[in-house]
Amino acid sequence: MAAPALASLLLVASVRFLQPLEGAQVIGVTTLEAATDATEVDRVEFFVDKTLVGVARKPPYRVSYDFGTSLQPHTILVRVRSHGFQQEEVAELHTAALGGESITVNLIEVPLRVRAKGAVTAKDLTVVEDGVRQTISDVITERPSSRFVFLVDRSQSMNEGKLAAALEAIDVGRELLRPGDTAQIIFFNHNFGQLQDLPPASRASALLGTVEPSGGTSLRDAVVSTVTRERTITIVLTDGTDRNSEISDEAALRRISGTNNVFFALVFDRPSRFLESAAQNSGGEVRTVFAASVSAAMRDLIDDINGRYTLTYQSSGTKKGWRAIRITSRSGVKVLNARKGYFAE
Amino acid sequence: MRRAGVVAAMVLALGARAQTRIASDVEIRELEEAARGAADFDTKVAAQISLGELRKERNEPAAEQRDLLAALQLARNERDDARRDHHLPRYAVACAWSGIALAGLGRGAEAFAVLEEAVRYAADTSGIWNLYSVAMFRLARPEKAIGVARISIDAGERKMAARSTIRGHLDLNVSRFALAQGLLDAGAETAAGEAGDLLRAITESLESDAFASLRKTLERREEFQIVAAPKTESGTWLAMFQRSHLRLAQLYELDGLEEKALREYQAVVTRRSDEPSALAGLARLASDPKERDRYLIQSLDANPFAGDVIAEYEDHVKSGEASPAGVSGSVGSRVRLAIQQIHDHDFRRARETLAALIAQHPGNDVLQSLLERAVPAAERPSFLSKPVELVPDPLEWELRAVMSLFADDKLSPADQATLDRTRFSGKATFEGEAFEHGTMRGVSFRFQQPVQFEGIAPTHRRLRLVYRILGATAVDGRDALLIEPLRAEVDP
Repeated sequence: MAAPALASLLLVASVRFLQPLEGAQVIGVTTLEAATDATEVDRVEFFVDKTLVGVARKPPYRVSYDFGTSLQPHTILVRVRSHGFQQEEVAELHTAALGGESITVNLIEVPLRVRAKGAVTAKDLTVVEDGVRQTISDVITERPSSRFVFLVDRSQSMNEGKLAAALEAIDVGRELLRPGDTAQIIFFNHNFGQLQDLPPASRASALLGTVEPSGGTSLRDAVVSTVTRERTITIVLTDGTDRNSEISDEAALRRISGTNNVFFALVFDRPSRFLESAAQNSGGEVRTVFAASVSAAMRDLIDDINGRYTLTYQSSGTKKGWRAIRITSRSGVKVLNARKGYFAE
Repeated sequence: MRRAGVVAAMVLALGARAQTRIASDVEIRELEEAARGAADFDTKVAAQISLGELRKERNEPAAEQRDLLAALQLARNERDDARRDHHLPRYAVACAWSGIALAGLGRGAEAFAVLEEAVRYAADTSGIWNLYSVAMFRLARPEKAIGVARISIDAGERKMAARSTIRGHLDLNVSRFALAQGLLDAGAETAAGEAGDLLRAITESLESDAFASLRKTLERREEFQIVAAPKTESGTWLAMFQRSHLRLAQLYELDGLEEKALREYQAVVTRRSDEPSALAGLARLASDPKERDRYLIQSLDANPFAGDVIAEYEDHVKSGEASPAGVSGSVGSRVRLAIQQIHDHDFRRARETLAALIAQHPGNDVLQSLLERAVPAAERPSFLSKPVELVPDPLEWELRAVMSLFADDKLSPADQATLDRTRFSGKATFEGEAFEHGTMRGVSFRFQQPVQFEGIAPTHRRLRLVYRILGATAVDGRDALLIEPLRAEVDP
């Protein structure tokens, strides 16, 4: 939006921000105000992230701007036009993101499958990340609301009823989701489409029953395409073999092993090493199924997911890359399955 | 004999020049690997020719030429080696590949000479004649192409009579397809009947018991790749399946036999879900606008650079039924966005969208041609040069010109001073619940903040405004004018 460049200016007068100030956090409707000692001012223009958002003609030079509901960093620029638009001066400031830009916040969620006689609390567990003991913030018994992504293989080898059985299994599984959960579906073969929302009362088998198995398999590419920062439980329904992905096992594992994604798979054949690693790293699981048993397996799986604890802690780690997590428990509590680590970027 | 089979296999795709077929990244990746890593001439030259064809379908002429030149060089080297070794069959095959490459490069006389040389030393080889006919199609010599295709079929039938094999069946179908393609391209009305019969015979043959084991292998291996010069029997079967069903579908569509056309397009998509020409065909035949939208999106995702599909999508956008495209997402989605932006005269953003795409896909003709259309009118509104106090009802182009001049920082201080003094009047339609943003003559605008007009209920959506233009801003990701309202009244 033609925000002026600082370098091209004649600084014959001065302009400064009164509000906000450098490094401030801005959210919602906020006043932008500047002061200048320039004379014969035509107008004062305010730009947010290079877009003109307001003009003030008379002092006090101030306008309001709605920064929305999320705390993001912004660049705000003020330009004073004076002497019949022949002269201009500018000032610029940067606002801060959530928590300030220099602090890295790592709230780690670790889904846990636990066998215990009673309810499990933070006192029953110990978390060690890269050899350093961490302070547990909470152990939540109720699974938090999550985004469920059903990643469905539609390659040629999913014929003979496997694809149809997979869609029916999704319908069965969705009946067990909780209020607040959302569901999306994505099909993949050698290519993958867009994520589609599954509206609450809809049935995947009815909505998408015309999809026919065809083409090859790009499992890793498809898995990577679904990853977001949202808390996500991905359930892959596939017959296993990945023949056409561009991304390597290692690169895909790196991309998906953030802190908020857990991978499960119901596999009609032998699971690939990638799927096993993805599930193991994230605290998920791989189960082998048949067309006749996939719905029951899905029911068991969602039951299991719903029954898991979620342990949270604030990581004290500072290094980038893989951070290994080890969970231990006192006697009488057995941790059956937990996230093995995550990639910090 | 093996070489002749390979040669025959390549006829298919090259003959299908009228179609926009998939040029997926999967095929390009695999072919580039083959062209780089293969030790034998056949694989390398077939990969280079196939790459050239894929580039052609993606409207990337520089890359196409590069691949064809590489194929030509390979073929010339092989020809020289074969001549030195006194190996005539090898020599003939290498000449034929040279001919195909030269035809692709538009060098007709050289192609003709080298193909004549090829058939001189391999007059009984069906595959060599096939290559000859394909080259003639490429050079827009349909009569010659048809004649040569018939020789190719005769040679194939003689071979099959001597010994029937799967490869022989495939090669014969390939030759028949080349003939059908040539008959259709020649455009003679009487020829369409023969072409249709040939295509139906091919599709029936592909589903026959002769290919049962091949079909099973295809399914087991999940093969789907369609290339111009397939190296395997399964690859040839796949390419032929796609070509013959597509061509038949187009023939039915042309004759108004929509049900039959639909079935043929569906057959293609059932085997390969992202076949752009078939998806575009399904879009054309869809009666429901939402279904048409879905198929066009899928088709442009599969090949975002197909000129004919882009033209169809532009018509779809004009109809008002196109769903909005996103800034991020597939290349197809961003091409759709650029088309929508051009349609909305949002030229600056269209140029931004296209510049990002061109950086990713340099040398693409379709993107360049879209970019050429994303240029605003160069005129300057007269009120900038001849100041007036009030401009009543400025035209759409005048408002967009001001917006572009602001956005591109092309207003002089004198222009800005003039504009700052000038008042405008016009009808505004508001969006949302407050008087904050909307459109005037289809051009987006917004106020600095929501405004209440004395005596006007916020339920009114259409007002007549007197206003000043402050600059260029954005509303929901679209370019817009930032305006300062001076007076408002309800537009009756």
